[in-house]
Amino acid sequence: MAKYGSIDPELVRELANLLTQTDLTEIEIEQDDLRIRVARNITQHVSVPVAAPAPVAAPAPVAAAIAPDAGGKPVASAGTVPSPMVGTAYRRPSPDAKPFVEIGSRVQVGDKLLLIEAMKTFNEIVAPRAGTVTAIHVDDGQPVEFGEPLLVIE
Amino acid sequence: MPAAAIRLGARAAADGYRLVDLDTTPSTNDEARRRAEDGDPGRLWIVGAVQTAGRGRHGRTWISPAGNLYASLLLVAPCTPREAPQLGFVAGLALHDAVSTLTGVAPDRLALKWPNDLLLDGAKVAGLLLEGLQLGAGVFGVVTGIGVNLASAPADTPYPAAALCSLAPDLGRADLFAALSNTMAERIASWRGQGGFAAIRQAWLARAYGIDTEVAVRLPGGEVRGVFRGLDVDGRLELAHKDRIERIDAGDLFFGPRR
Repeated sequence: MAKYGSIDPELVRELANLLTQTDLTEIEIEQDDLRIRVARNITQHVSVPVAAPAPVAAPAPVAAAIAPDAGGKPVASAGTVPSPMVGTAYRRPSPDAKPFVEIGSRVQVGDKLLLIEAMKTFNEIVAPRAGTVTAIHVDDGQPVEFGEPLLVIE
Repeated sequence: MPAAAIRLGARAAADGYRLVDLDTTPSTNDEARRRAEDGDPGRLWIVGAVQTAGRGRHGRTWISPAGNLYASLLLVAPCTPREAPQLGFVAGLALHDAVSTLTGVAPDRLALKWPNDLLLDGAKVAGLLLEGLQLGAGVFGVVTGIGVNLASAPADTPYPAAALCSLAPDLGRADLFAALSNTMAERIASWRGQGGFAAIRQAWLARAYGIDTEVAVRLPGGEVRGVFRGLDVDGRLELAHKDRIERIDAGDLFFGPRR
């Protein structure tokens, strides 16, 4: 694979910005032969425990709104799409095809996001809302549990 | 001998199933999906004499020449997405019922391969591909695609294939489909009735190929080997492997010790 020369610095910058905006610790995307992983270290600031959990901010119309927890891991927000079943997740309709969506893809209600297979039954997972895909929590061919966050649409 | 017209069996017609019989279609599953998206109420069979873009698991080509059966059943709101895989076992059983009744084949020659292929003497004669559809407004539909090697079987498949003509040279598409439409109607009624999936699972296990034998399962991340112990309550394959049972929901199953 000799494609490093063709990496778009703008794409990396955009991913890095997305990382900061969403408070994620890392983002990995894969497209054809190219895989980019952008990661950062998060210093944990442990504050005095509060009695009630901080209210999750309502999703802002434009900016990403994943509520960060102390470890910087994504927690379910209004835009999280959970798995409706146990199975194996696929990000593309067939191994040679392009993924249904990438981070940054704009989707409409009903657009296909993933397939989940169990016993040769392929259930399509569609966008429950319009917006932009800000996080994808599953790899192609990864087992998923019922209720597991699949991706986030903001 | 002119080919008989494709028709529903009496039980299927009585249960309100309908039929669209096509000469050539890219894929009976895709045609069923298109009609679902156009608002078809379900219990609709699509049968194609030839498929120009027949599909198998995960985008594999299902070679679809004339003479074999290609049929897809659209059901609207039959179950939840979680339960949809159960329909594959329902359909596998219905196929087994239809073929055993029509051919009178000895029970030990015809078997079901997890999750839902039909084997004759250990070779694949039919396969299924199920697709769960989100039809808007929370309505869930399922297309059960069934391909039966009747007149011919493809060569160079990952798993050995055979055709039913070796067993029943006079069996045609029309008679097979009529019988299958009936057995599907019966098994679906049973699945949705008192017996539920538990009864389907028991009936499936009684016809399963390779229980308690050594198998390999090819998964997206590699191959696992073990002993095929049975099905869990959801239909996942139970594989005894390194002193524990793994439950497998997706993969290609191969029988026999390592070659």
